[in-house]
Amino acid sequence: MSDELRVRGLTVAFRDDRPVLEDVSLDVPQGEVLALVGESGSGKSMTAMSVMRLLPDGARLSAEEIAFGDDDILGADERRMNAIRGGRISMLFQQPKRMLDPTATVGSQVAEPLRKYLGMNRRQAHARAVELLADVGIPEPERRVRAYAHQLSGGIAQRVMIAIALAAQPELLIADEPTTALDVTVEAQILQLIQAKKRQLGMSVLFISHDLGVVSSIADRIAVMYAGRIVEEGTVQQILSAPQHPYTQALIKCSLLEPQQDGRFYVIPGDVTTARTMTTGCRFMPRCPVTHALGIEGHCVGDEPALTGCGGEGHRSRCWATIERLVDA
Amino acid sequence: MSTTAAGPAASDATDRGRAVLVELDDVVKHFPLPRRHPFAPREKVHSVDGVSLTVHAGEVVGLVGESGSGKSTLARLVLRLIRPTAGRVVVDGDDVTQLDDARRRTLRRTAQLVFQDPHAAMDPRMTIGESLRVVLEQHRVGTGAEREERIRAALDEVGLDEGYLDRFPGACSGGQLQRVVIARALLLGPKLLVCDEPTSALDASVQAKVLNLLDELRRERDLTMILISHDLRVVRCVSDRVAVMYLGQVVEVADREDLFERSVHPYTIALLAAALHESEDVDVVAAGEPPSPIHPPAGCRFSTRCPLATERCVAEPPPLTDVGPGHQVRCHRWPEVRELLSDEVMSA
Repeated sequence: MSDELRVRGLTVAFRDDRPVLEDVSLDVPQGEVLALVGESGSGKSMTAMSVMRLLPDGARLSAEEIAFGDDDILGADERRMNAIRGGRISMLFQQPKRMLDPTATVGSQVAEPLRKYLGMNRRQAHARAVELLADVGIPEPERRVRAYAHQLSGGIAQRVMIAIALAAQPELLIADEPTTALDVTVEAQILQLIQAKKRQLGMSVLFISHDLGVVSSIADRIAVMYAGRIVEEGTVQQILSAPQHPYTQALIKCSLLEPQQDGRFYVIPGDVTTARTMTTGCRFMPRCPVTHALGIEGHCVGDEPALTGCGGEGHRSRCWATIERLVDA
Repeated sequence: MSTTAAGPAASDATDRGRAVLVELDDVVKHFPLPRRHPFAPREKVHSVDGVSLTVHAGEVVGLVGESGSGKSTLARLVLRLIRPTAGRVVVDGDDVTQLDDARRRTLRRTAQLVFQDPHAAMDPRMTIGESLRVVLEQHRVGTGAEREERIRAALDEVGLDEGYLDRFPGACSGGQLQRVVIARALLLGPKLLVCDEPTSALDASVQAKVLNLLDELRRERDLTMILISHDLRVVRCVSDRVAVMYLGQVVEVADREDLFERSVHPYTIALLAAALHESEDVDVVAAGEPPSPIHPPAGCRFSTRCPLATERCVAEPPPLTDVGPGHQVRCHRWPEVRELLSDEVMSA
């Protein structure tokens, strides 16, 4: 219970624009994998960066609460945050080769968190680095500790990143599209590795991805984001087998890439709603097939629905149609 | 041929009877590396190692493989952006390896390329109108008025209006810009479009839009396409035939249905299982990572990762063997592969 990530009412805005992230709330209980899914610009990476308090300059963050266990992330000073980042909470990024320091050996980069957070001396840290590299499935770790980033393949580099991220045995791992730049056979291996490490260390994972296929194999729960809002959340089963929000349904349909009756692929009409094109009502309304079919456009334009329970336990959707049970099953 | 689950690009084997547009004959491309010290032997990257492939007019051939398999190098060879180390590349009757620079220009009118990242493919300091105009000016097509007309028609064809002409690439989304890139490729009326990962930089909802567009263009203009992708779902939807590459070689070629239903190369099977998230335990089919293309394995190139590799596989490179009509495989153990792997994978 204590080591749970709690985010309440997170809002992020740049200058005077409409917020890019609005009233986002989520929980990642210990040992669970929550996946944030959405298209580019939906605010998934912004959410992750807010939790790490690593937002770019000019971003204004406000929230009721961001806490990890007994650590109040919202109120922590920079010194405490530095202890949390890499210590209690670690991150994995999309392009491992660009995230590694090109001028330092793999060994010294794996050793850094060991010395900083676990207080090891140089020799202990080096020995442990070799163990950690072996632990994430890197062949010939004794040789690899002396390698530089440019000598690694994408898959090996991501394994090194995982070794670094897990070096200080974090309680929460934030993985931001960790397999997007990798080949499919390697992607599968990395997903397995993250899963195995999660079980072994009992940590929680906030897994960010645009790919529902990837998410289905690793997540316990899914939160779907659209234009800065969580529009639906539930277990993997609930989201993938019985999606309630029209955006989730559309996203699943076009991710499958299965031709329809007329031989064409399903396309969500219109363009992604951005902070500039947002109106007062439901953000998906301009592209939504349900609102037109049910003739409730007026309602959807007028106000934005709240995230409301729909059927299964913990399954919530932000849609007037599901709220009013206008959709037939 | 195609029976059920006919995709947008569903076509039957009639393509076989059509003229050959692209022919690759035992094409090799090695990139030499700098010597490690003055007396060290010169090493080279074996990017493409003996690829033979035929593309018929009007056909869409999908090229799949992981990074380093040589698929993008192959695209560059077809467009004569680079010269092969050995072998012949014939496009529309011309041996492009023999073309001088002046005649490369004519090849541009026959064959065009669509890149992966549309933002990198457009000059950020030129408006879209300027970028499109330059193509026609360089090729001295028509008068000024005719050029404008052609540009407008091309934009219209990809579903964009004239408003885009004065925009800069930075003001467009990835999906919109990829349509501009496609419009630019169509300006000279090519017969062949080589698309190198045309949708991998795009979101799921936009990807479908671009694939629909490519399919439409293909029908209306009777285009021939080589579609390169690491994503088997994309290839499955749009291709008539699929070639799977591994470490510079084609390991399996088949009609789409055959490849997805009856593939026999262990690598193809591993790729399918991983891409479609069907198998829980992918280690069973493809352990580790592809070896370095600087020192490819002496025998079968997949032998270092193959669960079925024998001594013979390690020692002796398998030839590309016919296993059915239009279906070729590079594997010593192909007759037994499906049976041997079925317990482990296909039931998973």
